[in-house]
Amino acid sequence: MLTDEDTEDGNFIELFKKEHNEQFYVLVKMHLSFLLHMTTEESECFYEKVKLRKWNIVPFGKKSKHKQSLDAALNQNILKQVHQLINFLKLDSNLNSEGIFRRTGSLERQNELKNLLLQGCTINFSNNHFTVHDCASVLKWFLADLPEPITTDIQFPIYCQIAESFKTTEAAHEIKILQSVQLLFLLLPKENKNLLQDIFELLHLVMLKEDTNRMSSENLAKLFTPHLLCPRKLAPEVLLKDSQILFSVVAFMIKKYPKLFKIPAQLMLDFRTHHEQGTVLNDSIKGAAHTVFSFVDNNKTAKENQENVTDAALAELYAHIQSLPETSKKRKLVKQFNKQNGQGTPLQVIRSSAPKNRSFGDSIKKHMFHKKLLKNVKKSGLTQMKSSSSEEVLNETMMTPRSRKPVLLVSGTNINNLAKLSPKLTHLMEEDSFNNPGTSKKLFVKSKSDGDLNEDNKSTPLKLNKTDSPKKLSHSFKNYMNSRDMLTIDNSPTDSSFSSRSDDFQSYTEFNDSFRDNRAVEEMSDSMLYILDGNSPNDVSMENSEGEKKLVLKPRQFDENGKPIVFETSF
Amino acid sequence: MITLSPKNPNHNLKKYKLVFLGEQSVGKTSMITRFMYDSFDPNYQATIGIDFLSKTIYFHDRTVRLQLWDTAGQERFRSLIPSYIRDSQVAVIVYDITNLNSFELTTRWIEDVRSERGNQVVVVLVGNKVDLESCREVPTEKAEKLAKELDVLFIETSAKCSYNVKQLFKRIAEALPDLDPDRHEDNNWLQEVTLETKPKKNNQKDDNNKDYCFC
Repeated sequence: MLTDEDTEDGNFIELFKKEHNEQFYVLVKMHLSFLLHMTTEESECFYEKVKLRKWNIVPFGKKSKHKQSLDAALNQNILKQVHQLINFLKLDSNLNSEGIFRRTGSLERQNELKNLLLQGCTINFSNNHFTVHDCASVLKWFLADLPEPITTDIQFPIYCQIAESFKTTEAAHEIKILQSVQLLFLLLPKENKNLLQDIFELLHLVMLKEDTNRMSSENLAKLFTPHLLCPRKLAPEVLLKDSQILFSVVAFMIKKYPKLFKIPAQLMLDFRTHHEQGTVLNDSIKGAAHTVFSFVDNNKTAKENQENVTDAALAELYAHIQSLPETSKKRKLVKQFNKQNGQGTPLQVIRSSAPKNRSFGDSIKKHMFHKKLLKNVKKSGLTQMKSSSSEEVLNETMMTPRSRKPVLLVSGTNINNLAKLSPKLTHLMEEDSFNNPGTSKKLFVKSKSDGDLNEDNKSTPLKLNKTDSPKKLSHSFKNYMNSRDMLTIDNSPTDSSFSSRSDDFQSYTEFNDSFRDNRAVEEMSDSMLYILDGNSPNDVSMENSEGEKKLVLKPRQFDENGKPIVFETSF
Repeated sequence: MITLSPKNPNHNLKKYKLVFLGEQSVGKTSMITRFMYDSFDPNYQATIGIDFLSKTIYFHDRTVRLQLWDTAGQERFRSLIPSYIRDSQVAVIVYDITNLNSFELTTRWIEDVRSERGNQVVVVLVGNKVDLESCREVPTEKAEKLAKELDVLFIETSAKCSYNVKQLFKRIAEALPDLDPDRHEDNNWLQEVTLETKPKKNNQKDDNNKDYCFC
């Protein structure tokens, strides 16, 4: 049932295994751990044992034949004998016999057959001495009598995990089961794998004749699960429980036999990539696994890109600009982008010349923060710690409109994924930006007393209460700010003032209990978001008692009148 | 068919465990399905491990609750079975009349039961699938002879055609009271039952009156 392509793949795999043995197991193991969400340690120990096993094959000849025991691992002699049985059972007339593998054969003839096989005789099936049921029973006996299941003891828990994690009835799970099993087969010793392949072929053939032999894949699976998968020393109750879990997987394997022994395309690609690179790079990549595995759902990404043409186009545009050489023209374009997309957080550039068409919320904000605090700011005298290099870095960092986070790594290959980055990945990107020394340096000091700050914070809700949407603050506001504090604390440990700042917000929210509601952050008014994003708070800043670099905000440039032109926030 | 004096019937709801044994595909599950639901499932499905079903049957004056344990004939699950045999008052050993091998292996099953339970058990040998008379491999006489030798009940049935299945359970129920585990605490009830069922005096032994054959 195997095509030329499969044979080619198989040959390649053999070659690869021979040439890059270590890399072969690393890759298979890694793919398996991705599929089954195993930790590396789990698969590691599993892999080590497989490797050990390869050298522990006990030669069949050493075993006592009188015991009628196949207490030996597979070797060529016994495999040849078993193949006699398999080939006999594969005959059409036998495949069609009702209850094959289920009906009981003659115990006497079974013993006779076993003896003949163990003595290495070639069996003459044509004289009809042994019935199909005798042979089927002996084949089952052979599988049951192996010292460990043909799929090996160590793979057993993994099969259990497959059976528990995936449902054979769900189409989405099918491919995962199939790939996991394919990978497990690659980890088996060659003898086991080949025999297993022959057995599944036989079972598949039996299944195809269900109309006459009445043996469905489920039926066959019930009979073969304990023999093929279950360790020998399981307690009866455990055996029963595990068999019941596993049998649907075995039934699935019998059904899918034509695909069962293929090599997952992704793994094949990894192998080939490694093979090609291996000849060039050789030592430099030793031990490292290169994979094509992706956690991005390409289908959903593509769909999203189709539906959100604007975002996709914007992302492309960003990527293009990002890839431009470092020129003043690029800086200019980047600035323009940042201005257009709402000055995403946490990095931002604010012009002192505010837009004319201010919203109601803006005016409140101005009223609350800007006017009053700006005076304080001016009075207290600002210390400017300007750094031209940090300005450059800032200016070259672009913000996506969606995530409102700096775009750090955009290339032609991952541009499509940009818009659909999972929250986790976005978070990672965020962390990257904090770890970037260029951005984290941009903390500026502004002198202002803590007392002022508290007062300001407390005054905020009172004043907002008079507006149309007072309830849109409080709880969600707190969450929002806390979450940002967390980020700051996590990533800039020197910034101890942030802890006191979060306390401030706590007191602020306590103060505000009466206004609290459960609205989500997105329900906040645009203007509040605008403020929260740091656009206004020329004033919401603080200092610590030592007056060190612990402030968040700082006016960077002043016009002739001493008014700050650009404010920056860096979280 | 059982005529007992109607004395305190509700008090006498007794529970008995029956374990069904035999090789694969002889019809253990089919027999239970016929008895429980009076139906026949044409699907040909192996049983995994052990199935449990329970049914209350009513006689003229008493009620018996039968717990049926359906075992898998499969070799690998044999290790499970002894513990079920140990708990059972009745062992139903089934073979397929069209499969001589399944009949030959019944002796092994009976040995297993005897070794676990000794004589404290009702053993029934059941030849199933008599609807397939044309394929018969086990003559009735041969099975009768074996049953006599081993001192067990014997009956031939067809779960598919609903032949003799009810009869089988009636016979089991008749044989049961002798095995009442509480008989010493419940002497009145025991005496009545014993008196009524004893007249079928085939194969009786002096000190052991619970094993006899109907044939």
